[in-house]
Amino acid sequence: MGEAAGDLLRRFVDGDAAAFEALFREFSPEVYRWIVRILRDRAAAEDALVEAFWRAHRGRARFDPSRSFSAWMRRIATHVAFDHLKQARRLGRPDAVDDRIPARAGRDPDVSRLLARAFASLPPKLQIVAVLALVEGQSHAEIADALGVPVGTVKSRVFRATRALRAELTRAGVRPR
Amino acid sequence: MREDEVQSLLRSTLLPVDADVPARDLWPQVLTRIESRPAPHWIDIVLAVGVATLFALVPQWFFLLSYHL
Repeated sequence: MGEAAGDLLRRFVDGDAAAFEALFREFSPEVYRWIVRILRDRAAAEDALVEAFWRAHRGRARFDPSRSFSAWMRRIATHVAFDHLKQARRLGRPDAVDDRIPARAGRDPDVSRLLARAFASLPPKLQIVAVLALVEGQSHAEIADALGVPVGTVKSRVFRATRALRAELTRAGVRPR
Repeated sequence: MREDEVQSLLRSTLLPVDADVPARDLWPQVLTRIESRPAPHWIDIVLAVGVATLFALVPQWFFLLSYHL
């Protein structure tokens, strides 16, 4: 993906509405795909996208035009998605529950339901790294950059998420095929 | 059960979400969000109600506070 021109970024920082719209048009598909990967819900991802660009607009003075706009937006979007997961959890409606993420054909539906439920009960910070690292195959470095944490923290969270899911499966007597 | 087995099960459970772009143009919503005034925080509301109640119960405090402001 092409990086935005420095002039456009400087105008954005200065509050130019046309520059902000140009950036939105260029980067919103990428940001949206990133959020969908985390939330796995198109409607929630649309809300989160609006929130992410609103936060970017509000915090534009803190953006350094010599840096990557894409990486900056991805970090904001990750935090918005994280807040969304936290809020969904607080309201008692985790997004990744079994009825919204059906099992693939050919798999034991009970195991899939159990795993989906165990995944939904993970703390949001573990859910994010688990879905990005284990399901989407993103590198630890990329996830660390998006979350603004060291790579070691990402590794530790992947380990804890895997351990929690494994414990849940083992408790239910699930064995690998 | 090893990590790669958990990963394999998780991948087979969580369906990939096939969405390249939002279903509609969200730019108008971004503009609306930017132009909308932020809702007051509940602490501000509680504080305002508390001060109003205090002045209603003890009106003399209003003049005392006005003098100090």
